[in-house]
Amino acid sequence: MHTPDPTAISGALDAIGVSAGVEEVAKLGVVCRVAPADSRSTLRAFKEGDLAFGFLVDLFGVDTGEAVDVVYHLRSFSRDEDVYVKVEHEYGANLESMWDIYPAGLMPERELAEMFGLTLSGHPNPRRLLTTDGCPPFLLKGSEIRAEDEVRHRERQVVAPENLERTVSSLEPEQSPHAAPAKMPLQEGIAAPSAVQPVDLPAGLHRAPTGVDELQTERLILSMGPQHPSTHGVLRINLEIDGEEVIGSECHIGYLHRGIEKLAETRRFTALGPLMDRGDYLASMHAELATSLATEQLLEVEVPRRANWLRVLMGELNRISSHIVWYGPNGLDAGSMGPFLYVFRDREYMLDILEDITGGRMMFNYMRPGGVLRDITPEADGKIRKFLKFFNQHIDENDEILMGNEIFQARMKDLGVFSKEGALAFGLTGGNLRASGFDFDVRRDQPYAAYPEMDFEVPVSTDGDAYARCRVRLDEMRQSARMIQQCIDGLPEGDFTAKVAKVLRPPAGETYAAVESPRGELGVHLVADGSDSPYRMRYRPPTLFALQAGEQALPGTLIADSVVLMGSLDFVLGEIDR
Amino acid sequence: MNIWLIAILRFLAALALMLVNGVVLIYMLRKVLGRLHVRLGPMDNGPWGLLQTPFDVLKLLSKEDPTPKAVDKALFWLAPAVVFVPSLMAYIALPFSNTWTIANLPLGLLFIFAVMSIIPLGILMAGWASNNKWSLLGAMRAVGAQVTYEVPMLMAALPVVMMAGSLNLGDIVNAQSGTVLWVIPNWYIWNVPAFILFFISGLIETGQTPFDMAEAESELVAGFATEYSSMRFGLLFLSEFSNTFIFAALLVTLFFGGWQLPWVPASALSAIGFLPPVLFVVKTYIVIFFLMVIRGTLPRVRVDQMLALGWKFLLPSSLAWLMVTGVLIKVSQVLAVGR
Repeated sequence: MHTPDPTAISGALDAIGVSAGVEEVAKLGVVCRVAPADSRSTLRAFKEGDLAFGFLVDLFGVDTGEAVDVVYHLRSFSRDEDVYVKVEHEYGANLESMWDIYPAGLMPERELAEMFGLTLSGHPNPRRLLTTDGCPPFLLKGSEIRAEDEVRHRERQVVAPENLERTVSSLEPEQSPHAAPAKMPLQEGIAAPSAVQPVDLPAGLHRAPTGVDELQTERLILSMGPQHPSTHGVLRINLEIDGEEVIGSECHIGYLHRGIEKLAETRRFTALGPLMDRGDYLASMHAELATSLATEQLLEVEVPRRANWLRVLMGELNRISSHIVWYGPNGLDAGSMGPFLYVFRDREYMLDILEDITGGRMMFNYMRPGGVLRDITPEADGKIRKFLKFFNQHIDENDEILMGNEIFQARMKDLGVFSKEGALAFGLTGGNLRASGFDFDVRRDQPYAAYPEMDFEVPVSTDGDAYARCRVRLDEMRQSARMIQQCIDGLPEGDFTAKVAKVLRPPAGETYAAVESPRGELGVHLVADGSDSPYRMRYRPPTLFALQAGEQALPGTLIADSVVLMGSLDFVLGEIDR
Repeated sequence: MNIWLIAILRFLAALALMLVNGVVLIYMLRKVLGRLHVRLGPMDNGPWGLLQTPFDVLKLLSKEDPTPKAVDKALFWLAPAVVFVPSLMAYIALPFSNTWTIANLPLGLLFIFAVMSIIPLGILMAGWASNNKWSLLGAMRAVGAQVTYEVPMLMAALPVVMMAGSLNLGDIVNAQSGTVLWVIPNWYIWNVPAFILFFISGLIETGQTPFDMAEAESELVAGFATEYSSMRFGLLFLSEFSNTFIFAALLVTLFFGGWQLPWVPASALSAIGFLPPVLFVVKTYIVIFFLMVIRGTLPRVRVDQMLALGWKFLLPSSLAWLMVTGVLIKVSQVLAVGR
């Protein structure tokens, strides 16, 4: 990654009359500090001017003890530069929504406001995201999570008292307290990521046209989840439906919120791993690796070469096992049970391997600051070789059994089409972004661990539909198997961990580390104050961004499609809720 | 014998057949799906898990049967019966052999279609009375499917009726005896387009996977049966398996020569009294096995895709094939006379 030129940034900001403090912070990059009043014009300049930082990586807050620092983490893919825009807000101040500049901020802004006790203005849906009303702003330094705090209770306060007597169906959609907000006016110039755009379906099969003869039937509010079988966790989607057609959607999350970011502030750096495991529980290795990388960057520890190779090996094994849990249930969503059980053969064997090496099947706590927990055993080596032999055969089988099925193709093709611009605007990363034709992979473009030494390809598709997302992920599994083979064959000799202290006390500082998790760019932003636990840890959940994009794409689909569409985005609610 | 006694005994026979079928088919489904899905299916209760389904029936019978507060009670209680009874009635006309028929109806085929078309009414009642949006959606899908499959299914059966010259199922079976050109059994399966159209419509009728959207568990939780539990759920469940049996039996009757074997004279088979019914049931189960393989293999189509298939493909092609068959029959008659 390159560092942007601070003088160019301050020059560009001066040109629009914004006085900004631009400085280069060690271990982090260029930080640009502006006043709240200037934040809108600053962000617009970053987005549209010569600076062209078109991608909002993340948006979060830090309680500095005197104020709330709102951090906009921006990226320019073309120049491979990151910049951090910090805006200092007083406690309880009003946060102006920037979603019209960076739509990716839609959900993170809501989270930021509720977690730091800010009010949100100019947002199309300014409700709380992860917690319900009455919860204290958890991420402020003074507040604590207590047992008696109802983090997520039934939404009794959502229904206004005067509406209680009236049934939902008697209300106009705009009035209904349960109704999804009217379709958000998408930003001009950005192709709507929704699937409403007319597309040519395969011959013989057509989607029901919207509003036949302007026939309007009564609209229903359908509460899908949190205990619905196909929401992949405890997600609740309020669907506004007209017959079978979805015309509005709103995602309710937070049922799994455990305050991982808050808890991290009370854990030592070495104890962050187990906490991160509980985020994306299907790909724990990657979340652990991100925290370890961030901690190492703060400590400036050199990781031995063998440890790096082991990290790649385990990360790729975990990627396959995670993709399998996407592949199987994706077929299940489309009504096909067979593929699910077929791939779980492989996953069982895979989990046995992971258990042999790490001792855990799900929560590994294997990646540690400085290296990995333990070395690979000869037995595990043999098992991996055996696994690779039959996996390469099974993956072709799987490709045919589900992806080759014509009914499955008719279901998946042209469903949930995200244009490249739409995907970038909503902050999609990983396979979802690559399926839309944008070729970016953290492993290749901002390499970490031993990825520079690996020989692999990054599968890309240009269709942007659910089928393209499937295709990209399936090809990713093949590439992962290739990398595992390389790791097993060429594992260098050496230590599996660097010598690090038992209690880590990184010097005060700030850093960001990102890994390519199976679901996209998983980032960890660490702020250290010199003590043995982080001052603030931000976990960038790639699937939160996928969820908000999916929420936008739902209107216009059918109920049957909505399940498949959300499934194709491959999210894990543990990570979304944290 | 007293005519009433005979009627009651025949009714009981149909009921027993339906219940036993249900239990056997559930076990078979579990085993077949298990094998297809690289697992074993039930193995713990009894040898090869044979007792699993009887235990399940016991469980369903002994479970508490709560009625949700907000349902329309009369309809809610009536609906399983409206689904179950037509399914039972359809057994009446099935020709297990020339002599083994519960009632030898002159319009047997039409009778089965007529009673089977009552079932979606019961499903709609169940879905509406449940006062549950998932149930309602499932019920609406079932009704949508019914209007889609019913006409093409009848149209696809009509070529067979024209060839046999009768709506009586026994006559249709008898018309398929003998061979063509000394080796090919004279079954109506050689009317391939009619067979394919009838088969696809039947898949929709029985709610088999690719067309099981009325209770698509990944979309609609359990569809119209969401609010049902205990034996009321059992009745809904049972009628579904019974429908599968009836469809398979119809397929055997119309296209695979019913209880007859190829190359064996019908009179020789009829001499052994129990053999034709056994053959009929075995053939039916073979068809059901293939239905289960389809169920374990294919994903589900979307509801609008199914409607498009029904209205834009099944209906026109079944009408067209009906006409073609009529012309072919006429031509063959003229040729036969000319010779």
